[in-house]
This record gives sequence, C-alpha cells and structure tokens, in this order.
Amino acid sequence: MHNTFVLVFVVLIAVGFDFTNGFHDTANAVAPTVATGALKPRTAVILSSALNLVGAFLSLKVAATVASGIVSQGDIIMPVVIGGLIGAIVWNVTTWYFGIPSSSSHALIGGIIGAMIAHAGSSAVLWSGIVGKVLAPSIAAPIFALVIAAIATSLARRLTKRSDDATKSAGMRIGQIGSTSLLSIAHGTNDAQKTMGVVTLALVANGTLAQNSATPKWVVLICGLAIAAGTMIGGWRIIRTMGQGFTKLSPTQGFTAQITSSVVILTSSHFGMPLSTTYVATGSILGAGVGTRKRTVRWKLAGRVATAWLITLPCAGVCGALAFYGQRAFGVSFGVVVMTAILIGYCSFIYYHSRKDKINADNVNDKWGEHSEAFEKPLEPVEEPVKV
Amino acid sequence: MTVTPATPLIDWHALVQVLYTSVALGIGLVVLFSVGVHSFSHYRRADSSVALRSLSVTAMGLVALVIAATVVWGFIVIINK
Repeated sequence: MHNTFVLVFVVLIAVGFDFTNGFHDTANAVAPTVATGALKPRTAVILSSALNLVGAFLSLKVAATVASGIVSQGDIIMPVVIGGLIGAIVWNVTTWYFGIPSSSSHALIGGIIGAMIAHAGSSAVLWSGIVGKVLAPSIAAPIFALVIAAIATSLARRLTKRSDDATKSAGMRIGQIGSTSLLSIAHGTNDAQKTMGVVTLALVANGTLAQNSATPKWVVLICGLAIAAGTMIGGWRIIRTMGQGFTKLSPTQGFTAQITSSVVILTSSHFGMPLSTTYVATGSILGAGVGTRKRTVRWKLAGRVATAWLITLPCAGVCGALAFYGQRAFGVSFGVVVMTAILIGYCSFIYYHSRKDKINADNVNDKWGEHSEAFEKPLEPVEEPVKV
Repeated sequence: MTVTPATPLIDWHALVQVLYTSVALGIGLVVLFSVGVHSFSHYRRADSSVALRSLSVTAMGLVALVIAATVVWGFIVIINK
C-alpha cells in the first residue's frame, strides 16, 4: 500500500494520541508530589515533562507490536490502526474531562480490538491474550500496589513517629522528588515507544520503510516531543483527583505511594509482566490512605474510577469500531479526513466544556469539594501536618 | 505423538515474582528511608551524644548507598526494556 496522504494522517493522529497520553498520565508521576507541596505544581510538571523526553531517548528497543498477542497481526491494516488511535484519543479525552485516571495503553488496545472486530470479525481477536495481558494485570496491579503502600505507610509512620516534623516532612519530600523523576523517565521510555511502534508499523505498511528497519530518528524525536508537550500541559483534572480526591496526602504518604509505584512498575517490567502505570499509581495512593491511623479514603470515588477501568476496553472499542466504519463509508483517504475532523471537533467540544470549571496549576490543590466534585463529602484531616 | 503443553492464560509465575519482589523492595526501601530520616532527625538534635550522632551518620550513609543502588537498578531496567 502506498498512500502518503493517509500515512501523514496516521502520523498526525499517532502524535495526537501520544500528546493525550502525556497529559493523561502526568498525574501518575506528579500527583502526590504536587499534593504534598514537595514541588510547586508548575515545577513538577516541567520536571516530569523534561524527564519524559529523556526517557523517550533512553531505550530504542521498539517492539513494533502494538496489541501483539491480542489481535491477529496479519489482519492489521491502516484503517484499523487509525480507528484504534481515534478510539483511544476519544476515551483519553473523555476520562480526562471527568478527572478519571484510566490506562492509555488499555484505551489503545480497546480501540484496536474494536476496529479489528469491525474489520475482520471477532475471530481476529485473541481473547486469551486479553485475559493474560489486560484483565489479569488490571486486577493485580492496583491490589499489589494498595497492599504494599498500606503496609509501607503504616511502617513509615511508626518508624518516624518520634522524628521531628520539619525533618520528616523535608526528608519525605526530597524522596518524593527522586521517585517522581524515576517514574517520569520510566513513563517516557514506556509510552513514547508505544507510539513509535505505531508510526513504524504505518511506515512499514506503506512501504516507506523496509520490514525490520530501525525506527527513524525523526519518529523518536516527534514522539518524545509529543509526550513531553502533553505532560507539560499537565492533566490537572486527573492530578487533582489523584492528589486530592482519594485521600489527603501527607509527605510520608506521598513518599510511600510514589516509592511503591516506582518499585511495582519497574519490577513488573523486569519480569516481563508490565502492569498499567495508572492502575499502580492509583492503587498506591489508595494504599497510602489505608495505611494511616484513620484510614481516610473516599471509596465511592475509587469505585467510580474502578468502574471506568472496567468499561475502558469496551468503550474505546466501540469508538474504534465507529472510526473504522466511518473510514469505510467515506473511502480510506476521504474517510480519514472526515474522522480526523470529527475527532478534532469532539476534542474542541470537551475542551470548551472543561473551561467552565477550569482546573490548573493555581487551583489544583484546592480543597476537595470546591469544584465540580462538590457533591463529595469532605474527609477528616490526617494526623500528620502537610505544611511545615 | 508429542503433546505440546498449553500456554497458560495468565503467567502466574511472573505475577508471583512481581509480587514477592515488589513487597520486599517497596517495603524495604520505605523502611530504610524512614530509618534514614529518623537518623537525620536524631543527628540534628542538640542533645544527642557523640555515639548516637556517629550511629546516625553511619545509618544515613548506608541508607543513601542502598537508595543509590536501587536508582541505578531502576535505570538499568528502564534502559534494557
């Protein structure tokens, strides 16, 4: 297939996905750091953005196997990739609007599954792969993180009970900056490579690149820049949910949550069972809340987030399938233009509505309940002082 | 006729390894860092004895070494992905 016109759109949409991936996942690395005041919100986001960019260049072992083991690789065609990317962007933007931390990787997998079912039927989907690569890790990740963070928080609280508050808070905040940095680099390496894989696949499918070619430098650069730019924008709504919504984090809790996230994510990568960064980070924050004496956690909010996780795959799948049918209805070249226009329109609509209750670096740490989440009940303050 | 064993749906072995290692590393690092912070707190106290201060400095040094080693391991995992 040689269609440079479509290829350009694939690259643009892939970069768009990378951008939404960046701002959607900023919270995973920076939410506790912002919530505890270890870094100013803007500084935290800039640091994370720069380290995401560094991460994108650290490892170039791009496995151009997006959704490998989940859909039949031989049936993947360009409109399926485009449909998958559009489905993932729509889901990322929607969940961002509601401040829900959900997995960008699962949104992409869901989008591709939906587009693939629309293209080749359900037999092209390897359902066993979904259980092993999506469902099992989705359940395991937050549970592992929650349990470890709860035990770690409880121990840290007891061990530092007789330390003076100023030293304790300062020490934990320094630790948070370190773990934020490590998480940001890991995210840049992990997630920018996903998009590099998609673009490389498209280039190979178009005949622009030979099979098994190395990823071109310009692909690495634009993917790294896109994820860094997305991170720099800062998904403040999700940062707010993770930093203020689940529980009121003290520096000790913030530190234990971030160390737990870093360790679980890096360990799972090491053993070849990559767990979703978002699920791990969410589980860690919940665990940090459970580990306090009063166990102050908003479980209703956690339940809503878990529900969103459950519907990520089917919802992104429906969007992916619709995007595929749209392309087929209008023909591949014109279809991709129409679908891109609809996507831009939808993103603009969501952005316009988000301005009505704008969350940014200045108000991200406002007391929970002062914005659109006003129906939530306030929590009791934790026993440890947050500011020194 | 040879029978090929079916690949399990879930890689339980990897999952259990992730759990054990994460529990050991996650809790271990937090405990170590907390000991470091507590030691520093003792070190800063004006009424601490010389022996206690020396012990605090040793503990802080050990904690710093272990944390640095973990960060290096983290980088190696990220780069080798």
